[in-house]
Amino acid sequence: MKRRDFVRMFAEFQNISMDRETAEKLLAPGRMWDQLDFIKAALFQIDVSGFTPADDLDYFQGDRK
Amino acid sequence: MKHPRDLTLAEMVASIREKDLTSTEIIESCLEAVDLHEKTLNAFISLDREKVLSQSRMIDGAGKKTDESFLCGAPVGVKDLIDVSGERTTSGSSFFKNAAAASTDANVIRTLKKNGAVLFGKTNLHEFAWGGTTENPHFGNCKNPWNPGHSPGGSSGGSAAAVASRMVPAALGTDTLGSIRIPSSFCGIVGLKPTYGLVPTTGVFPLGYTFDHVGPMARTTADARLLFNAMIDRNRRQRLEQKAESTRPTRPAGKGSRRLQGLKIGFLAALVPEQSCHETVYRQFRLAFDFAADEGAQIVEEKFPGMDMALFVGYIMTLAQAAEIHHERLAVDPKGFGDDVRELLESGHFIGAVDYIRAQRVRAKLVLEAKALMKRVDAWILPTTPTPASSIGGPVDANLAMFTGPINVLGFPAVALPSGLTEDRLPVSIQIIAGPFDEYLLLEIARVFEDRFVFPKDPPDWVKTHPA
Repeated sequence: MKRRDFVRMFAEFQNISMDRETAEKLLAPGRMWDQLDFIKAALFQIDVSGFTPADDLDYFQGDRK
Repeated sequence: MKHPRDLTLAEMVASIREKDLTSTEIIESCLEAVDLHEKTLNAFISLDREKVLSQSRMIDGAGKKTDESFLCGAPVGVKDLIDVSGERTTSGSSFFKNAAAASTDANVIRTLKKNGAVLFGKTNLHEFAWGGTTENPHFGNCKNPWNPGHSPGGSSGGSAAAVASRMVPAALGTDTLGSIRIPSSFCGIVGLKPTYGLVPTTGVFPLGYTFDHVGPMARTTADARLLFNAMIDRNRRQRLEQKAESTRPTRPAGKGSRRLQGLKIGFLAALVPEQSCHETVYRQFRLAFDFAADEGAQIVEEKFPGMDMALFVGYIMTLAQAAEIHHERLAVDPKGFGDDVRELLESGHFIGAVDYIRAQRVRAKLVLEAKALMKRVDAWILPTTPTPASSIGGPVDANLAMFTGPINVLGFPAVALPSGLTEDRLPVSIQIIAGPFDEYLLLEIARVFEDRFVFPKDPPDWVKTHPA
């Protein structure tokens, strides 16, 4: 399967429509797909042993309203 | 001739308190500036003159100003991502162009009203705050008052352009990866991104919940502090005052002395590659350390391993959160978005849960490293943006958020401060970062740099020469 078709299929799986032109734009060299690939790979080079996921910081301990 | 609109926010408040001017006189002067500049700059999405004037008349008519009325009827612009009761919030989007008016105020607006602000229109922004130029396909491009051929930055570009052109002395912005500080840098004004969670985001349309902040944008550090104080309740102000009193062994002294004596300022050379920066940006960044040393600060060379990953964490988490927020809209009407924003939202759907969780774990590590750094220094300095304002329609620096985005990931407060002008007379800026709840220290340090950097106090060249 071509990457372009995979991307469109995945988009459909996510319930968003994606035309062929958009998929090709995402996949063009140096564009978003490549950048995300690079970023994801970089994050997996970091040793995170001992760290659990941090989403909301607790500086304000929930008092944000 | 000096117009009331040329006064700083602090001067406006003082003039009203001293009965030299009324709120209404100031508002009328600001509306004259809107008549002069708005057609070119396109800084506002909506501005109901009668509504603005009725607020000022009401405040003038109320007579006695209470201690709580910090702003005494001075005007404040509001980014059109923040709910104001009775006014439409477009978020800069076609989806909300004809939306019903908000039925309630955002929390920060409620506090501002209580503190005597006149809400002066809703300012233009990058669509859904997801971009750094405020080139908006639905409401028109906002322009930079220093040169209308250039972008004001984004996403809070309308707020920055309105403040820099003196249509309003101060405005609210929001900041997820730099959206207060980037336009502040491009337009030569002061922008504060507070500690994460300190200014409530209830009633503010989200971009990425984890990194969204609301903060003040103004022409001076004193004005940024004044507006910031009017944005938070008394409990929060007291908490910040207590922190300022209790945690610093040596306070910056008064003007004329070595005002940064006793403070340690971090120099993290590895985070600022010279080749990534415009020469004026880099020169003024280095000059900041000369000023700091001259003012008695100890300059500490520091390292922050892994900090280069912080922007990646910011992108992964924001892309995914924004994609989730806009999922239904994207499914139903993808063409309702501008091309750039649609591409970002589509990309967000390709971030897996595994990637997201890894980003969160890297974030936890970075926050720990940052807290350790703040035990060794009181503040650190970076450029705000690597380059000055880009041309409208021209290429945008891919590294635009390289110095701002990482600070959102940490949740630390940071202030953008004008540091000079390029040969083309476009502003450049430094960014000062401190630990959580050190906003007052941060603004005191910024005030010292504000005195030292030679940045024009007059309006931008284009505003000065624009025909009256």
